[in-house]
Amino acid sequence: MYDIIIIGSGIIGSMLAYDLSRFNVSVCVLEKNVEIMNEVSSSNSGLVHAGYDPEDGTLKAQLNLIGAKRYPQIAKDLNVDYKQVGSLLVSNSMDEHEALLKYAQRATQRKIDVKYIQQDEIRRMEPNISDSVLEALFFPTTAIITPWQMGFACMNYAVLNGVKLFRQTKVIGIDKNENYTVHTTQGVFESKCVINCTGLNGVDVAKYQDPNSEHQLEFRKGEYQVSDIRDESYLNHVIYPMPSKLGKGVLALKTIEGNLMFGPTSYVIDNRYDFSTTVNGLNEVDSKISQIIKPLAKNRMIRQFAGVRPGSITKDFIIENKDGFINVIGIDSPGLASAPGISEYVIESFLKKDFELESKMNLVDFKWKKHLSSNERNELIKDDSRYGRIVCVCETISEKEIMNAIHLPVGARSIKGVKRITRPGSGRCQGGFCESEVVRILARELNVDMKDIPYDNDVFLTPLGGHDETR
Amino acid sequence: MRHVKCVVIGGGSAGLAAAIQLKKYNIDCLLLEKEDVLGGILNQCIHNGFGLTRFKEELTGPSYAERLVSEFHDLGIEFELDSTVIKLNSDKSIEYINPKGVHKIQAESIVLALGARERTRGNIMIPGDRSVGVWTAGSAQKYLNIDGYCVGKRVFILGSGDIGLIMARRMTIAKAKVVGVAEIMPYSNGLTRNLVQCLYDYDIPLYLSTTITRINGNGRVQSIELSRVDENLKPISGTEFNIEVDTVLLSVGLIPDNIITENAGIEMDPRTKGPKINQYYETSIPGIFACGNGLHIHDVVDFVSEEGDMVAKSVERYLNQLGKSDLSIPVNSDSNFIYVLPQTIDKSQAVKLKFRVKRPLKNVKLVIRTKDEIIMTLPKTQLLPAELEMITLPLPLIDKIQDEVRLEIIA
Repeated sequence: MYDIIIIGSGIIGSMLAYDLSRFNVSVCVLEKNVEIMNEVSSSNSGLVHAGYDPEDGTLKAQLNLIGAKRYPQIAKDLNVDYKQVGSLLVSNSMDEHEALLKYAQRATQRKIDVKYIQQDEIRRMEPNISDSVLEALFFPTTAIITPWQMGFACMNYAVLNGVKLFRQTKVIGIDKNENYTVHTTQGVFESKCVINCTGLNGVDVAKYQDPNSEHQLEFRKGEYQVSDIRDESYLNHVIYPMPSKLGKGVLALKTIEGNLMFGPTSYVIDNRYDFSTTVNGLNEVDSKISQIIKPLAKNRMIRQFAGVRPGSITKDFIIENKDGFINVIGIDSPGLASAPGISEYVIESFLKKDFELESKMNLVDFKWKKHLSSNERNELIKDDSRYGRIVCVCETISEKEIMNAIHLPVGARSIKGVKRITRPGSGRCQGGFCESEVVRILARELNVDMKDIPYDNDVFLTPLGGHDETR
Repeated sequence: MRHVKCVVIGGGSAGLAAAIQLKKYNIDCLLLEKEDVLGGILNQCIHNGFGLTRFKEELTGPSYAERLVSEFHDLGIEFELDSTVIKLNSDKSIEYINPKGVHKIQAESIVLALGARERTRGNIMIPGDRSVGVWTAGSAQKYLNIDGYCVGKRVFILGSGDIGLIMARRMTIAKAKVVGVAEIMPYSNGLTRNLVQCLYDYDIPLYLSTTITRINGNGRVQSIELSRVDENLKPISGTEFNIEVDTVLLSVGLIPDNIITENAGIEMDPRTKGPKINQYYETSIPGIFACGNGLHIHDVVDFVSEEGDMVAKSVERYLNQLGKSDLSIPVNSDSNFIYVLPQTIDKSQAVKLKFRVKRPLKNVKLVIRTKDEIIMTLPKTQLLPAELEMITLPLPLIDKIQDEVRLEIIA
């Protein structure tokens, strides 16, 4: 019996677990995948938007601002990467001048730092900006994070401080008597309160509690392209085109690690698990990106991917408390930026009314291990030589760092998990050199055969999970 | 800071040969290898066909490596394993990491024998699902020959490069069904002997002018969509067909692995994707030399090692300050060539030119000219992109060279 069950461990579930782990309530998190932060939360732009574009009066506008305000402190407490790189909202034609002024005015009303800048200054700030860009708004507070790093750090902190996480535990039904009974593939869980933050499945899970729920989601796919880190100096800020009814548009940014990332497209899809890239989508990214920056050579691209955003047809987040069953659904953009705001909102508006939340004493610190500098590495090698055995040459990651990723409180159980936590396979060889070594280390540390190490849920090295007649 | 006469970066077929030869010139060198064994990629190439030129017999990859490694050890050459170079500086200092620490050493000369990496799905942008079961041919080779896991049951191979062909045979022997090989070009990109011994002998179909236009399968690969391509290599709409497979191996080209070279500010050639070199295989930074697959992609390992031998000689010249002329005459080519090496020559001695053509050519003449004068004409019954060509320009001809050397193909 728990006080609160959180269903889903994307950025919303992870942030709620983080916030709630500091109160005297018992919390468990149910996640259907082998790794947390695995669906919507892992495939997006990784941006903490300044918060000027959501419409007035929406939860999106309100919670994006709170999220943006909370992130720097959370990042500091957990030692995760958070970089205020600033952004340029650029206009390409005089037709967009009006819209530019609208956003400047809205930003000012919301007390968001903003500065109007003209061609010369734009080009000084961004030498590779497209020639067609005429004017821009500069938002110095726009920040970049690595989404899964943020989520992993939050969940690790939460688990260290008493939250129970159950992975590969899919919810298949919910009953309400005095308490909630949550039926899963791994047995039954009970709680006084349930928080549904299941992303792509938000409405389905909401219907377990209320079959008459009328919420509707619309799934939008967004395709991205990612470049090699060697082009790090190509871009300094996040570059946004003028937003349209489809969303923020195809933007250009540099990730924390230094990869350039272009995207996303935005179109409605039927299958919510369609994470596929398409010729048309990738071409659209190319053509749209060329309107805001000078194109980068094609052979610099190392990866393409697609994310799916579950948006409500009301165009706003849905956050509601129905008899101790809290729905947090329709969290599309700016969901990542708003996550700390959403968590705070859920706690302040609902949970503080249902529970006497008191801050816990003796909280255990959790610090994310950032990428090592040469000096730090040299010091660590003195205690453990495996910090000096580099497994991933592209990203300079050692055997010991991979072992650390596996032995976190919420440790990696898959190739994908190791990749998210510590990056082998994210570089220019895309795992070509190091993947088998990563699998070997996972197998050794988890004491299983290499063939039983999943890449992702139930997908293994060999199609039959390791049937091999040559061995 | 430790000072070394010569540092060889990379302990594969090029680096080992260079180090061995350096020792024979009595030059102290230190070889840095990122893996925990010497030999490089040869260790996973358990098929035969290596060494016919160098050792006059047919060896497997590991045996070829073993020959070099035992000679290397017999000579007592210093080396460090598990040593990854993270930074090469233009002053020839080198930073590397190994289990003993993070080190910085000063080299008087450097041999880059960096090897190559394989093009990935992301590099060639194959659209489709985020499926598991798509590997480069070399990764699958490593899983099978080093770790003992055959990663597929029904396999399709994209690209008819040599590793792809070798893996078609290897996976078949490991009881996988290799359903086919697709090549986007209208001709194969592998050596003829590999086509015969790895595909034809096993009845594996080769689809020319065909490419994968979509990979399907949430979770494991379930099928692929293939399309015919037109003369501009664009997929032709309406020609799509699907094949059910669980694994896709990519053999779509190798790229010289030169990140430390680029970061050092060494001038690169976008055609070879390796550094630009003069006829001593010296890069734009004097005293830094390059050889092997890190310089340009070879098809025969014997020539990789030969480049290592040659570079050692250049290092010896450099360290003994044997003069070279200040001339730097560009070597150019017409549009029939992918590239010609070296990029510049200095007229001081005979030079071996190495080149690849862009498409198969039959019964043509290879012409080497300088300004308006043709200095050499060679009839060629066949030139293939898959085969690295070499010709030596002897000294008497070198003397005739004026501002430029230019390779052309005429009918």
